[in-house]
Amino acid sequence: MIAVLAIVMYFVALLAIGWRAERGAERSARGYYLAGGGLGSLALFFALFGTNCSPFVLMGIPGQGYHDGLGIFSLNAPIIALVVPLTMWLVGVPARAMATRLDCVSPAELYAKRLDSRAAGLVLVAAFALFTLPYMVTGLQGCGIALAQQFPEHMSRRFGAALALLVALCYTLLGGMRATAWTNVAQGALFLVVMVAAACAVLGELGGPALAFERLAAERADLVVLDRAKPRFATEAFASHSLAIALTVVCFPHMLARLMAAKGEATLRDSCRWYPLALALLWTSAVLVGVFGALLAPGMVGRASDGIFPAMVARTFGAEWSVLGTLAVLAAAMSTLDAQLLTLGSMASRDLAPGGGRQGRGLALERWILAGVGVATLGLHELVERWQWSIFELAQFSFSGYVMLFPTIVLGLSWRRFTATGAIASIVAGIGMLAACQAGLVPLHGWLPVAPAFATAALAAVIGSLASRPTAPERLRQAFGA
Amino acid sequence: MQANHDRAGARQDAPRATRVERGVAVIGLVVLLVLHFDAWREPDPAARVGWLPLELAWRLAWMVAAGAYLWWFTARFWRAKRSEQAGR
Repeated sequence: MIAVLAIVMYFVALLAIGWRAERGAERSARGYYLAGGGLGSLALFFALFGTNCSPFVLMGIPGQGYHDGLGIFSLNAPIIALVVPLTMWLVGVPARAMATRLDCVSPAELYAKRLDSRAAGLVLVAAFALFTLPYMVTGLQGCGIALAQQFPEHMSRRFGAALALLVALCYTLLGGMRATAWTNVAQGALFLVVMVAAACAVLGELGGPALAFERLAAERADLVVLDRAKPRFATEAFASHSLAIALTVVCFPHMLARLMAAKGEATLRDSCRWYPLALALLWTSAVLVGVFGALLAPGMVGRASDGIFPAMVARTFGAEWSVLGTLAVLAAAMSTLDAQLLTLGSMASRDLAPGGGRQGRGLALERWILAGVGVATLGLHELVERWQWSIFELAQFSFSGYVMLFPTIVLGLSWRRFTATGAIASIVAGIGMLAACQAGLVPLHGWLPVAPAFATAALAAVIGSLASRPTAPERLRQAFGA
Repeated sequence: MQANHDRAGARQDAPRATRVERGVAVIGLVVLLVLHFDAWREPDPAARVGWLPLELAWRLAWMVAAGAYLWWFTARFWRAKRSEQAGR
């Protein structure tokens, strides 16, 4: 009963925030999709943090920690803590300024206008959709797993996923960016507190940190170290993975949209500064829950370990409070999902729909398109459930793909000689090379496909730009300022 | 809102980063990246710092260093970038 009440209250709270945001919002595409460029420090920080922390962190990472130990922390958390804030600085500042100068609302629109090329914008929309839709499915998977574990006799994974999507869609439809940013404040605080509390509770059950680590070293020494003999941690794979996980975040279209929505540079800078601290807290806790979960609940095979975080919350908090784990997963999943829905919706309405961006016609088209994106995501989730892909596998596919957009995202904002031809060549060549590597057509010598594919994308960006005519000077003046 | 404007305005008057500071920023980044790819360390389950396993202690220490680097970087270079833009 407590569980049902808590989840209903959580959903109602989100809808109330969405409704409140809708009442205070300016009725324009910029107001709806970018909160009028007015996200302050607190809202922006949690919008970025909440958006970036998906079920990949709350379920995928404990699940991998369960099998691979502390090495999962070493592989991901440190490099993200350093490079993500640096790339937010590198991309966020010029993207925000350029979006204002060119009056852009969606990330693809920003690059289409900067490069003076509708074709480049369409290629970007296609690439963003290709990698964002599977990533959105990981959110639905997380919600489905969490709700099905919470109510095993009453709710299937599919129904749980659909329910969470429906609620996220409702508050996003109502209040746009403003609603998603403020719900992210509540969601980010919720999942951070619950994850840290869960790690503390797990350590407490094992007799405190000293005894817990001692027992871990004695019973599962393989989980205490980063063993380079494992293929995942071999030097080349480690370097490739670091490249992917570090550069991918700023290429998420939903992260770009949030950077474009910052009220000012001071708010962006604050987010960059506090990001590593919040990340260290969350990731340390997530990995410890997974690693010690392997001691407390051994025997999980394959993607079954994706459920270790809710299982540990239920075990350590007691059955009555197990709903906190479910709420944390829902919060992480929905805080990413809402941003993705909104950003894909913005690109569909501004870059694809005929007459997109027309002023003074209300927001009906935007809202219908957003609902369509939600339905498409649910359809893809159904397919993925049949194929039995894990959250970690799906996220890795998306993260590798996003990295192919990094040369375009960065060079488009910093190099005036960068052209539409360079952008298209970079994206197409990078994704082509990624596919060829994943199909086994290119020898990798221990590197992950993302490494040679990224090098190809970067090279194609430079060659394509230098081999084509520069962008018109007038457009460059508009984009970069005088 | 007023506070944000004030803070942004104050930074426009900040001095530009010096050449030495730019060098320190690049070297600091390279050192952090090299330390992240620490292929020379042998895995030893018994090695600890207090009760923390060496692997976790090493990574957390690295993150503290990275956080300090970021704080310094944003303070110096964000200011410099603002003042350079304002001066154009």
